[in-house]
Amino acid sequence: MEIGVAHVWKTYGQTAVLRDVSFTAGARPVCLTAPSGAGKTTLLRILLGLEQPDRGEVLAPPGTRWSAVFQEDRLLEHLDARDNLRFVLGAVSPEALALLEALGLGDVGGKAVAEYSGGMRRRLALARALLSPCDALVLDEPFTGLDPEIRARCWEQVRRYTAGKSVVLASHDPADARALEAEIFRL
Amino acid sequence: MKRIVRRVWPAAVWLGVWQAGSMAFAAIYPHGALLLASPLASLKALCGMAGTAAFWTAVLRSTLCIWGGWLAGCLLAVVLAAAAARFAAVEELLAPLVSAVKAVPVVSLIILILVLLDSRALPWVIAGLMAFPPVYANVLAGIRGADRQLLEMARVFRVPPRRQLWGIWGPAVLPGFRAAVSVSTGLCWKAGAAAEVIGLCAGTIGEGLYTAKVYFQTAELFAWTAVIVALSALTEHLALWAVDALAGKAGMR
Repeated sequence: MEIGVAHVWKTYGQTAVLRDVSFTAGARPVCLTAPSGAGKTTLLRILLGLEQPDRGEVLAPPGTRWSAVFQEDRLLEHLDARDNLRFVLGAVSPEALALLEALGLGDVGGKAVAEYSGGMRRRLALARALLSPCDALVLDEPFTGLDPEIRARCWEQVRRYTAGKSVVLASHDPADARALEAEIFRL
Repeated sequence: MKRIVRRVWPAAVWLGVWQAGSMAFAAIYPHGALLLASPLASLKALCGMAGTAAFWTAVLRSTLCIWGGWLAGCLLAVVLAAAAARFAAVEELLAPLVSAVKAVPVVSLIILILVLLDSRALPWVIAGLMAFPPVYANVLAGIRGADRQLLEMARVFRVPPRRQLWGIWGPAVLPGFRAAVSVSTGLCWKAGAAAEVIGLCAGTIGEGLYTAKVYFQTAELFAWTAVIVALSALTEHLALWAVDALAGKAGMR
């Protein structure tokens, strides 16, 4: 399945954030790279249908099921890891527990997310996105704040869980694109 | 232990002031003890009243009436706040009504309702009216303050509305709802008792207060007042406990 955007324009006030942007992602992930404030997050939000472009269109088959790691973690602070997954997935399967374990979140028990470190929160947000049934994933700086060893574990799980799905990644780090064998798209 | 001492000593001081005032009245005026009954005389009156079936009937009747009105007011406020958050016209329509209920003196509302309805319904309606504005305002503010980013997340992940209710809307509304419950229980008892007095509701705490006033029984007056204060505190504790228990069970806390 191919997803992407065609000739997208987006302006906030007098500032044009996106000017005639087009790209597609199919079998190979696409990694968006650009300096901060260049419109990566805006483009990802347009893909997810959370914002409308001024001009242009989103290319995705009707009924595409999306999943995402947002720029912010967007977790339910008062719940623990399992309940955060349960909120999105409805139930926590053995597969979900295995992924939490693989991402180093297997021993957090019933601790509320509010008590997690930044890296733990990021990994939980990633686990949620990978476990959610979907056709296409949008990953906005998913590896921010992770140390090299954990980051490598996350790459491995992303490769495993996104096989056969369309992936659009936003990252400043070329290592992320290399690890996921992503095609680089400069904004 | 320190906490208990910190709570007890100011109460003991004020009881002492009350006792001293009562003794001073008794010394200055021929029937001064009637003007200001002592704490001990009030306690004796309360014990005497507690031994009668009429006292417990009055307590039960007033409690059921005020709790019923409070609960109905809360439920209506939650439903209408949800409707107001969804439809601007509902909020616009209700705004003058809510402002009026907040601004109009309780005694005016009591007399107006007494003119329109049976006096037996009066405490029930007044308790509901007292509960409505704070619960409505706080629930509406809670809904408006729900985390937009979490709502977007739920939309992207196609989270069903029922799960959004306990995961996002519930926790957003809960702190304000809890505060409104705490405030409104006290208001309901104050206004409900006043309604019973003015409406001369038979077999209620209000009737007890009225009788104590007519016969100048200040000890009974204090005893009934203490009963209202105790019931108000009990209602607040029970209501907050129920809210916390329900929220905990639903995974909102």
